[in-house]
Amino acid sequence: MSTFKVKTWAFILFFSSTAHAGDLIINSMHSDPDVKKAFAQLLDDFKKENSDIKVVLNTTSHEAYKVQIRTWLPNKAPDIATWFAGNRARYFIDKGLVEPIDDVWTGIDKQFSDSIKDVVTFHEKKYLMPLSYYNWGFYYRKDLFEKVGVKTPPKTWNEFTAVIEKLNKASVSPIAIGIKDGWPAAAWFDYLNMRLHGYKFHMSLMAGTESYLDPKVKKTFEVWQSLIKSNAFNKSAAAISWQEASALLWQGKAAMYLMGNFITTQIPKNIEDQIGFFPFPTINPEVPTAEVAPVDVYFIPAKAAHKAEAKKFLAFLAKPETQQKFNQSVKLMPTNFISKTDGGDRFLKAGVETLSHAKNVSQFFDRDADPEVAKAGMDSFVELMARPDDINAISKKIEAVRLRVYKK
Amino acid sequence: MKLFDDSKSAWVFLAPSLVLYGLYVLFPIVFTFYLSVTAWDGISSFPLPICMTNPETSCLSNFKELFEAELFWKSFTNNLLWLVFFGMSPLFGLFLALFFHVKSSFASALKTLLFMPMVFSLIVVGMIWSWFLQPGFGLVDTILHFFKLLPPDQEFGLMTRLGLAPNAGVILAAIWPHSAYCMILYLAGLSNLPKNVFEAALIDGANRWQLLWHVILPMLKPATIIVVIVTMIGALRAFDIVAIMTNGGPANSTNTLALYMYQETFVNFRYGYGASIAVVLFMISVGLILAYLRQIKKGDA
Repeated sequence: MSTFKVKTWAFILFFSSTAHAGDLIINSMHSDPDVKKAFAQLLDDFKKENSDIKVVLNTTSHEAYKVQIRTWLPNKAPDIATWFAGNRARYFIDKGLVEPIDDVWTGIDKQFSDSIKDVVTFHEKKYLMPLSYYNWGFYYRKDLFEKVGVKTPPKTWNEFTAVIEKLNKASVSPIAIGIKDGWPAAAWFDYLNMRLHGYKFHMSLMAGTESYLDPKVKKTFEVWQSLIKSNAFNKSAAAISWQEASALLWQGKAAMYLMGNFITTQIPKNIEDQIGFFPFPTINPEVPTAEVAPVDVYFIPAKAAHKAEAKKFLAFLAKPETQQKFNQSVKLMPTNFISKTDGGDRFLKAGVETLSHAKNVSQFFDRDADPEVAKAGMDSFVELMARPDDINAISKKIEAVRLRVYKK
Repeated sequence: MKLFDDSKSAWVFLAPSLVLYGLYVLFPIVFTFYLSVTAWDGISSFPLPICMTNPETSCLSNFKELFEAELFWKSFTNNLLWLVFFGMSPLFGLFLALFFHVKSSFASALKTLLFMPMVFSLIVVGMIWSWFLQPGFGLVDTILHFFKLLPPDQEFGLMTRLGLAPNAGVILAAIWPHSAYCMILYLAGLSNLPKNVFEAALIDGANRWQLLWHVILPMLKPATIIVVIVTMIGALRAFDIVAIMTNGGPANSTNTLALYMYQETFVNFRYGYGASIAVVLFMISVGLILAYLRQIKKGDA
């Protein structure tokens, strides 16, 4: 035991510089060059207002961060940590590792939508401060739609399946998807399940309180299965990555792609005008609209040494000016609705429009569900797409993992 | 007068490497065995064995779950496929070594070309092969379409299938650099063989096959032992090329024990369960290698 503790401490001491009163240590997983640069600018602005606080920033790559946070969070934590919302945040909150920040939220909560406030609230307390988020939906080829005589993007499920039929008749692969890494398939499950049965049922399923053997889930799989069987997706799906699938769209080999808005930064210049956006169509008009919109958040670890400074920083993060400046440079949406979204970017504009109709936002399957259930789920979705025969067997596999995880 | 007796000075000189060996090899092995009887999630305080925190369960419940898991047997089967097919690379290596064991600049140039994949990182090898096998516009599909072996609107799609088939692509990719490695080991072995033995055998009237079978192969035995053990270990620890080409997919069709262990530990954060996979993999590896070495010894006696 002692050896292990010593190793842990040695690791922590090595990675955290010596801290004094007035310091603010931030651990970040945003190692992407653009985001890193924008965040450095944000820190500079913060330092201008708070010259007495010395800020120390440790940036780690995404994957390493996800593993390392489990070592430093319960032991010697920084003052601010970047993280995901959803179940991934709830996991640490339920272990008492996150500081509630209701005091930071007082007075500013009118600047955030109910759907965002819902995301940061757990057990009636607010724990997270959101900075940015992005929407999901269909990115499509206007030229291919025109070619088969579709004038406006589909709004309802019937219109949507009609478009698929027309594209298939014209020998254009209707929908691009690459599920080598599993998760792009989960977007389909999220949307179909939310459009068919609503946000509440979907979130109960994610939280482990509903069964995957529920007839509602079966219905979701059936709708998906009929899409697959109608040749809506490219056959190569299981062998290609999401980037390779986007190439199908850029090359005009596929007409639509269900993706997050981050894809718009990769559109080749020569076809930029040909790409449009439309939200996931309505299936049941009686179900209130919910969208997938993962939120990037910041929180104060319960073991943080400088909570007063950390709260100042989160208050600064929440400001409309801060959110506007940061998100304009990284092409994401500010969560504070007083901030303006980059007016020049039509995709961001469409995203804001889409989310303004959403009653709720979900965080994406692998952030909303327990990691083990998410892994089993995504494996099963890939199985369904590769061999759309036995829905019951697929549901049973996920259910078995859910039962094991939630009986603990 | 001696300052130390021999054994004392031996310990002094051994100490630095013993400390390092203990810290980086022995301790992790022992610690992994310990973790395999816990349900550690990597975040709670130091884990106690499962049967101490929950007296109703057995301390070996990780192993019980493992042997009941469909995914374990799937990964195990795939490792067996690796052992059989990846295990053929020593044969290819031997063939290439015999073929190129001549002194000519042309042969050297070819040897260098053949050795190239060994120089690449396995990540690069994996990416090259996944592009080869890319359904629709990969090299394999392009060739099949060009020679009209496949209708233009169809894809070969080896890697999109569920079941054992996609393992073929992954193992083929792994055989490519590994055969080159076996070739180099055999070439080194061949160049160490005394020439006069060959001449003696030829004078005695042995034909080429007899020379190979009765003279060269027995003399290459030390090289063969190394090659076979390296290959067995390579098949059992198959990880990187699988991770880069398929990440175990589609739907775990190409998963291996090593990758399964990684996923349980660092994706699902079940450190205890992951450790139990590591223990099983360790046992299989040690068992196989010991069995092989014993077989070799029997042959010698």
